[in-house]
Amino acid sequence: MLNLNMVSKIYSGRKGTIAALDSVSMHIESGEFIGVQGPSGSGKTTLLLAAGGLLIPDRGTVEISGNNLYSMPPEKRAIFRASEIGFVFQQFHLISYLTVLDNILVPSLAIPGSDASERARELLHRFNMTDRMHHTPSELSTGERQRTALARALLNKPKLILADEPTGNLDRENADIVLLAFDEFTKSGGAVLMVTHDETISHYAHRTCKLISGKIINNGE
Amino acid sequence: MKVWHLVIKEIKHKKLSFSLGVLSVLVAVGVLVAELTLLDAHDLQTQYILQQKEAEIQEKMRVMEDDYRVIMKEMGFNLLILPKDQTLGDYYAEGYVSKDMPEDYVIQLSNTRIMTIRHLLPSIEQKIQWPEKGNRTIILMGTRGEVPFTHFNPQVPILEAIPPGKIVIGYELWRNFNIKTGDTVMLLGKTFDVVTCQPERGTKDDITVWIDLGQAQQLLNKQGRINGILALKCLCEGNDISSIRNAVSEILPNTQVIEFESKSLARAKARDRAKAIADSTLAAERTYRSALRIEREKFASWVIPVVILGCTAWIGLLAFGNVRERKTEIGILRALGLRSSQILSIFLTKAFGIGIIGAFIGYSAGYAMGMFIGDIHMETQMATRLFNPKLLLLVIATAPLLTIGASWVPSLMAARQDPADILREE
Repeated sequence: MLNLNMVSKIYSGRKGTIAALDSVSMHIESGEFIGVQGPSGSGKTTLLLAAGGLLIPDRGTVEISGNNLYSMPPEKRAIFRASEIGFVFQQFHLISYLTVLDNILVPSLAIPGSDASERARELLHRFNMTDRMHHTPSELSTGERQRTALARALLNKPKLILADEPTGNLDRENADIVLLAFDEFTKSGGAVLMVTHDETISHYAHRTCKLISGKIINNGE
Repeated sequence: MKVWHLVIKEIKHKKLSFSLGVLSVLVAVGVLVAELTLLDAHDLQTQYILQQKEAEIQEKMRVMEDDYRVIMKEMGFNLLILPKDQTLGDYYAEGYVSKDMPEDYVIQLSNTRIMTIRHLLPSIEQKIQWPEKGNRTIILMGTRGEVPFTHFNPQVPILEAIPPGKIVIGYELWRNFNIKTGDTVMLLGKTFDVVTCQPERGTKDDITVWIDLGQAQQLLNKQGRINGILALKCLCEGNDISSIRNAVSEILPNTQVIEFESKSLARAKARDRAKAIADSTLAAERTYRSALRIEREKFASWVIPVVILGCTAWIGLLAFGNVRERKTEIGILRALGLRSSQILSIFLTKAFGIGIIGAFIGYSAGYAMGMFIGDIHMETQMATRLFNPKLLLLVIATAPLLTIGASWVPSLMAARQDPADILREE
């Protein structure tokens, strides 16, 4: 499913260069839920962005379902991302002026489909948000916001979910809902790569990797 | 979900920002339409005013014509009594009388009880060279003023006599020789004081000098002779001068009587003068309106570009602010798979909306403003004529182009933002 091969990313700044990713290789199969743990600044977000086709690595390749992401033209890569990858963020990143239903439907802008609305309602029902569909994000609790973000990530039926600290702002109950959803997603054949500080990830993840200073120290195998 | 759906939701959410954008277009389009409507209103008003004035003048001229007829009927005829041997053809061709007759004729006439003749003015005239002025050809006219009728109460004389030693100079002569009132001039060896310099008449009078009859007779060596007797304000029944002719022939058999400038000619002259005054009044109005239009055009020529440029800059700033505000949203949309062309279209669709709505409201506001400033009432036919569908189409077509153009750079910046940078910052 996801194959990172010797991926390196170096950020250059006024204070010198920082190797955010240093020859990272990782392989995730369909149905796998992989957790990546590491301290702040270890390169977790960079790993996720590179895996999601949003950050061109300086070296190495990223393949999803056998497609080399960065050999595609940007426009094609965007469409590929919309159809194959779902993103979930710690800050939820819902669009403030859209209702819950509209937020879930946003990915259909990239891949228009006649069944998007129906699918969005299914997801609302699945995450117990039907009665909130016409509310805006400011009217939701943090747990509801993350469930909305989760539904949004699943709208286009992706094969891979990339999650950046999705439980970081949640209480235990809501964190479990999110993790359970990921678990269900992998059971249905999807793959999850989740970076987190959450220690309970080991209860749900099939493998947990350690990332320190841009290097995978322990790939959890 | 479509891009326009997202745009409409964002507009509903950020009403103030959108309203400020629409207001900018409204101001730009409004000023343009108001100025152009005002100029059109000015042209229509000018047309209307000039038509009104022309109709007024025509009516006044018609009334004046009637008045002249009535007045001239009361005035009577002006007659000229000439020597019988004067060929009228020569007189008409040359413009002056070459034959002469005794001056006593005027005394004979004044001693009769003839009722139809009034105001007798004997005169002598001859075309001569003015030796003191380079032998310039002039007409020397000698007059003695009015000769009173001895059997009637003396009337107020129409023309005063020119005293001996005084001279009246025609327009061309005083202008050519730079003669002024009060100067002294020499004529055929005699000295004369200039008492009057005549205004331009466009007739032989412009090359004529008038002096006392006695002095003229002496200078021309024609003592006791005159060329003609002008009889002014003669009255006759039914406007028929044949009765006067017969009466004069009985008293002065060696004379002939002609009408000196007919009434119809006088009326035509009066009409022409009135028409000239009317034409000059119309021309003055036309000039005033034209000057006013030029002034308004000048004002519009700098106000319109300044306002349009200012509003374009303002729309650009609003678009730039909107892009900055929505930085995270752009990052998320890109992460969710939206292409940069779609991000561009989100911002440009909004700009198009601002342009099209601003154009409609701006046209209406500008049209109303133009009518208000131009003092045109909505219910009048002129208001309908001022509605310019071509201008409406033009602003509807160009205002969105203007807003898209103004938003182009900020929108392009949004489309080119690196989503990774945004998400890492977050």
